Amino acid sequence: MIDPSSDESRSSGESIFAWLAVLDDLTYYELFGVHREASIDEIQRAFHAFCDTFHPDRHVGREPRQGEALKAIFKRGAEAYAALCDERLRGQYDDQLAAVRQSPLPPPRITFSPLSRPPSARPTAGAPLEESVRSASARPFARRAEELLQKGDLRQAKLQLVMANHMDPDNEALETALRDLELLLGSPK
Amino acid sequence: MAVVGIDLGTTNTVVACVREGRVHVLPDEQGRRLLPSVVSFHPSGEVLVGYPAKERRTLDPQNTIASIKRLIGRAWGSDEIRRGRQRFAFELKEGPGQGPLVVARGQEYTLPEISAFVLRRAKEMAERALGEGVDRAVITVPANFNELQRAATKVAGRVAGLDVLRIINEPTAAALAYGLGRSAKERIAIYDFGGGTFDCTLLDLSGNVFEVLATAGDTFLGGDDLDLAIAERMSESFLRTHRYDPRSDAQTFERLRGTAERVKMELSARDRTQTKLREVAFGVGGGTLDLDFGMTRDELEMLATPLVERTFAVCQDALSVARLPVSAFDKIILVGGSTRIPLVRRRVEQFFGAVPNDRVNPEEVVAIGAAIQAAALTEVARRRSIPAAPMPASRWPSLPSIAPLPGEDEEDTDDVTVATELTALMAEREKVRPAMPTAPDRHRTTARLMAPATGPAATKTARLPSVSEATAQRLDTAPVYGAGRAPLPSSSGPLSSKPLATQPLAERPPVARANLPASAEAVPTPQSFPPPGLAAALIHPTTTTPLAAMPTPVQTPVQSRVQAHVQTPIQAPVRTPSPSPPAPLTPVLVDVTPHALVVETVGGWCDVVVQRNAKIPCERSRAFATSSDMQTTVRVRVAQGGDPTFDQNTYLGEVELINLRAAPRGQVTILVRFEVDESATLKVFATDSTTGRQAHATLQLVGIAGAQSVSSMAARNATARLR
Repeated sequence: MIDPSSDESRSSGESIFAWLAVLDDLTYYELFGVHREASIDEIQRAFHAFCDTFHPDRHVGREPRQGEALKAIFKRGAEAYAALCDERLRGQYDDQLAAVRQSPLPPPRITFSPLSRPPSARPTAGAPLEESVRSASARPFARRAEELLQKGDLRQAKLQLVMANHMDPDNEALETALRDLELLLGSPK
Repeated sequence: MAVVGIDLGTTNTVVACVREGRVHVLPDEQGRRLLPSVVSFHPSGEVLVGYPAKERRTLDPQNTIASIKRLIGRAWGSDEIRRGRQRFAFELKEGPGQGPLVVARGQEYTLPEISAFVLRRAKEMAERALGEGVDRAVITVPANFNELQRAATKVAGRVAGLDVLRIINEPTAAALAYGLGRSAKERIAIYDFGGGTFDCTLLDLSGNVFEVLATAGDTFLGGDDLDLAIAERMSESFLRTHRYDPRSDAQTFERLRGTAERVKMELSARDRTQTKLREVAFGVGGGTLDLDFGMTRDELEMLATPLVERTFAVCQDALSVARLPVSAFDKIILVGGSTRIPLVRRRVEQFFGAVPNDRVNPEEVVAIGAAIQAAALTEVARRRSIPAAPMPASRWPSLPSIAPLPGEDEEDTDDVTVATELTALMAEREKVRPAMPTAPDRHRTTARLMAPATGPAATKTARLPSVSEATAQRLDTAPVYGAGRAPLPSSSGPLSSKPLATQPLAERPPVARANLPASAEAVPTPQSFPPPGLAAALIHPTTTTPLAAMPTPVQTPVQSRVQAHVQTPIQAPVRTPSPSPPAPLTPVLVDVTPHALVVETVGGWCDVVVQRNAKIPCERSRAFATSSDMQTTVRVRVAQGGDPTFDQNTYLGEVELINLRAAPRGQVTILVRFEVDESATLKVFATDSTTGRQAHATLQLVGIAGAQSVSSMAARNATARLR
């Protein structure tokens, strides 16, 4: 048994939370430590190394918060692996990555729903919508809309945008975003 | 208290345990290693389990329950229950919440309760063999089992007084038993043809990690079906000679079915068999009529062919999910009693183009794997350390501004969309922060400052790194677990506050052969676990031990099947004296969900939430909105399956979101997080996506007992007299 308060446990615990802290800012490639042109084999090898390190079964008996953090890290890894192993999804992801590389937003994520459209269609790529909002009450809606757009949930994003427009009337940026989104939703696909 | 692995099979149950680094299949008082999964309710009030119950099958078929695994976790209206009612002699009736009930001697039992009797007997067997109490278990299920079947199996374990650590898939368990100690990268196919279910699972083994590539199965296809076909054949022959149909009497037919099973087994060893069964029925004058039945292996194969061909349709399905050709597999592992049939072996060989491997007993391999997993899941002492976190290269400058802490900014607290426990985790960032540079400069440069290779590129301007710089940097900051990369110098990243050499990784001494089993026959030699490149890098992060100095892998001798007492050694005993280095960790199983998880959408269609074959544990979120004004409850119907029409899938139950904010329609959106855990069982969490408040979500599975009825079932189970 390792004493939970031992150095091993503590330092490893700090590392876990350090991973969790940067999790949302890592691209799928960074998560695995592979380069963007990595082959499927390289990605698989990296994923196996990742599993060996982060799979919850490798960390039996950790304190619950560490366990939860590890689970969150592992789940992101599983998501990344699924996306990078699928040619279509990987292409989609690379496109999104290229689109947001210059923005301060966290890297995109793949949503895995056949119904939701690729978030690459997000009308706001680059400029955060939130920054163009003037009213404080509209801000949460705009931010929420952006998050949903990123997740690819366009319908819910539209609802939030409608609310944002309502709270901050005559805001050109918001109006454009909503119009774009409506076009997107209306377009047959 | 000990922890065991239990293979709860359709026809037989096997229990195994790891002791002193070896797997033992635990026998009963008479040394029998298979426990028939049969429960019989005796007129004396006793509950017979195993062999005594199997004997009662022919005497008292109405009160003797077998093959319950075929029905467990099925809703009353399902095809499987309908077929079961036609085929089984015992009585089934509809219970509350669509859960079927078995009626025996005037008592009603839920299906998990029946399985619980078998599990309790297995637990007692284990306790007797080990000489200590057993309180926890890993229980295996067919890979293709859905959420309801897994949940029902879990309930069965709890009713039997076991803490179910994990539900694992039978083929995956078999892979673990097979692949333990093999370091070579291998792609294997598990062909698991049991008494009642068939599964095909494809895996990639790479020493430390066993990744399931795809799985497919049929939960209503097994050796039982062949028994039945033979019994039908017998009945027809009897009808022809004696003008009496044994199928008209449950007891008689049950006798034929039992005989059919023996005929089937005999024909695996010889070419023809002749069976005489006395007093099958009474003739006109009161005289007894005997059955004289002969069968050749060819005839049996004619009967078996359609069943066997169905298994290959399933294999094809798995292959297409994995997008691999049949030739991609290095090894084919046979699991399950039905793979003893020569026809099955022949056809498997033809299909995969490789000789199937059967070095482990196909009937015990699953329990062995379960025991290994059980040991791995309870071993706290040995676990992986976490390398320093990498730095997100391209977005590093903005890191501190992303995902602010709750409470740091009033507006932000409203917008936390993660569930509360995750929110709590995020708070942990606070602790991490001091370790990070606190320079206020938003476009602060990063590790590249310290890395001479790219050093000059680091400027204090707002310029973002070019692609090549970003790539270089990413390589610099790659996690240490990456293939054999040299560790970063201690000062290279703000996140690694101390030299890596002091990281716990270094505590892992080199793998040595000190723990090799003394007996040369004790074969699989996991202690010789040759550290592959990756593992070597992990074990020697400081590279103070030259790789050449490491022990060379011991050639794994060709192994005979695991014999009665030559158990698969798996790892060094936990209580190894300190000079001996710890044995390698058990490979980690990365399994998948067998079915897609879908929610109902308008018009009776489905929205796929979790794809089939997704690695578990995993989670996906979906947002749901209220559809009428002031609506405070939302119900989301959930099913499993691959059909675009909701009703064509297996309905699991509904997620109920209650006590929602009263607001105009569409304004309340609830983000529901579906989590598939390591046992491939489903959990749901919900948050109001506008307020960030946790919403109340419950998932009521069809026919699955709640905690309260589980404890009352457990109480009833514990008072039953078992024999």
